[in-house]
Amino acid sequence: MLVWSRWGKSAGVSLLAMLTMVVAACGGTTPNNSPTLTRSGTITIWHNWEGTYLDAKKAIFDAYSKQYPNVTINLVHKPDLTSAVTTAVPAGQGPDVIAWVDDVVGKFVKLEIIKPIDGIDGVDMSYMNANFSKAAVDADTFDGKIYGMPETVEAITMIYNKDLITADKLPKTTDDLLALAKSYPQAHAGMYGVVWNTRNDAYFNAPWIYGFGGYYVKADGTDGLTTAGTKAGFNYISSFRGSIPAGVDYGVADTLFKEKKAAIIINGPWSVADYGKAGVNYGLATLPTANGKAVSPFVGVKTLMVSANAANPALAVDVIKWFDNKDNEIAQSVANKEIPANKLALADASVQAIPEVKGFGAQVANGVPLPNTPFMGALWDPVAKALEAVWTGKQTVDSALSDAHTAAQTNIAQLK
Amino acid sequence: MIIGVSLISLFPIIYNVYISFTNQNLYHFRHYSIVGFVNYGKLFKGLDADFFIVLARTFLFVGICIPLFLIVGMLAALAVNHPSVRWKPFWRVALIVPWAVPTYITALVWKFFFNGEFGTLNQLYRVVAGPQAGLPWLTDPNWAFGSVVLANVWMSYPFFMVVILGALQSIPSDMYEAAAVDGAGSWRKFWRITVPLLRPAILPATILSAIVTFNVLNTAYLITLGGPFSSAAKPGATDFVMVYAFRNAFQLFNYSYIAAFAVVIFFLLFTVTMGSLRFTGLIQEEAR
Repeated sequence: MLVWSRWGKSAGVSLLAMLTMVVAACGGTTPNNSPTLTRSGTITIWHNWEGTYLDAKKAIFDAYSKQYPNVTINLVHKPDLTSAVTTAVPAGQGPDVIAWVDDVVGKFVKLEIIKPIDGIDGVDMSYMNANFSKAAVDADTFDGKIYGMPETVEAITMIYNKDLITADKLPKTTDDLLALAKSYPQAHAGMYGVVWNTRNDAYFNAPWIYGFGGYYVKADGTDGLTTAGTKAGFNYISSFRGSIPAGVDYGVADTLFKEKKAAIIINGPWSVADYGKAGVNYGLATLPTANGKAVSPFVGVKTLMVSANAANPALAVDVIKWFDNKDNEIAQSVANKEIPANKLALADASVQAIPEVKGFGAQVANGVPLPNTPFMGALWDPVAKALEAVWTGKQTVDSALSDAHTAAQTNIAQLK
Repeated sequence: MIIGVSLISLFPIIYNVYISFTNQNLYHFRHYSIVGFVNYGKLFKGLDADFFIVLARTFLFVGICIPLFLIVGMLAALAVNHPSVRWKPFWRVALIVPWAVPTYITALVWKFFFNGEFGTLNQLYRVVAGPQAGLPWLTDPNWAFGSVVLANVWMSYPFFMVVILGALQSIPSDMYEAAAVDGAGSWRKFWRITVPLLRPAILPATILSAIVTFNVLNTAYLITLGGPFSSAAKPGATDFVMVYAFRNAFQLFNYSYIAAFAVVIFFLLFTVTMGSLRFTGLIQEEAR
């Protein structure tokens, strides 16, 4: 019985798939004719918004449904969004819209999970350039096509506890930061000058790698792990051994800052609401300079992408265009202190008045875009492990990076 | 029935073998091609290949855990079985709790115990060794291995305790009395009466437990994520067979490579299990 129902289900799915293909084939006969917009139907969005973030965003979608009552928008929270999408969409299922970060764009294009939105509902490069910052447009463009609508940008910066360190004592250079990390615990037992995941996280350590002139990977698959800049970045990170807890990870750093046991944390905009709740009197400052040049954190662009299986792509594009228009971006920013990717919204006085937007915005200006090449996926794991090998003293910087280079190139070869 | 069985258990196995000869991974998910023995070549490319490291480490883990299960389980059983112990039913229930709690809960509790900064163990250690001290429970490869062994022993010894307790209670007490009349001390009684009579109960439990320990996933993965890693090109210090397979299949999405890995592990376990079944069969015959 069980077996037969399984059969029935899979037969149904393949019938559906065939039907989709027939429909797609019919659509293909008139290639230059973009889908026409009919504002009726259901749009399902898979996202990872939580708490107050979600409330503000839901209100915007509700306003759309109110204006166009024939449109139902389903927001579905997926904690493990990347794997949920990579499983569901190739199997012919999944949502109409995926709300995630731009570093998955290249990967999702290769996996045929998302489709380009050029020419749908009036979206083209001039529309994008007129509405969004250059970094945001670049992040959502892959192989010359537009694959998403930028929502907000984010980058990590220095967040400091005003009760533990005054603004004039903040480190200005990488040497200052290291000196503070070394001296602070000596003056304050059981406390730390600065904390972040120095142990095994490629994202949180990117500012130093890129700041000292290194890089992770280029669009053609060349990795920069054995370059002098990357080595200098690794050496700098490992010089914090003994001044940051040996077992540090995101949670440890976060807890230390919340418990007022760390003067400075390097973290992103998503964290500040919680620090406020924990009673930390925090301020924001840009990361220090290395050799006279600002270090560069990754700038991630939160993005709404249209699934390859979207039944009504024109409606999906219309919804995400609405979501990221000037007024709605201002509303999100005011509610959650997020930095809008929409430059018209960012320029608005009500947004500019938010200190967090100003603080993180200054850091975003120094940042490098989070690479959206699918090869970046081959780098996260080797870089994290190389950091750990150096942090725990098991390998020298040279041999750790040489092993990471080998591992990354093995991964990259599999992707080609 | 036959169709059902072949669909549910045979088809996935055959499909797995088929996948192991392709290049299927995250980026060749729908458009993959047959590549022959490439994945098997990667597994056996040299003695320092991941496969041998992971396998040797897993055997070491089993080799350390099983004797500890036996010793701790035996001690607990002997203690509970001792005539002077009161409230026996209570102790029996209390000692089985670690085994009855779902492993992911205990694993996460242990993960907290081992935390270098806030963990219970280091908090206690600091009382003795000063405020800045800390033991590298999860950050040093050897310590992390030991930490996982410790957590795993704590979770698994009650199983042996129960098995041994059952067998202990079935040993007639007049045997001990007779031995005492012949002048045997308690040490001699233990080795000459208790151990031989426990053997038929302990052996199958040991073999089953060895297979379960070989397949350990949640205990190790939830506490260490397979790490700490002392090189990007090598498996981590607690990358046991299933942890390695899980990471490669569901985090790195190397489906075809890990399918080949699974095929080899399958044959290995199949041989070991068949051998052990014969072995226990012989033992049972001997015991009859």
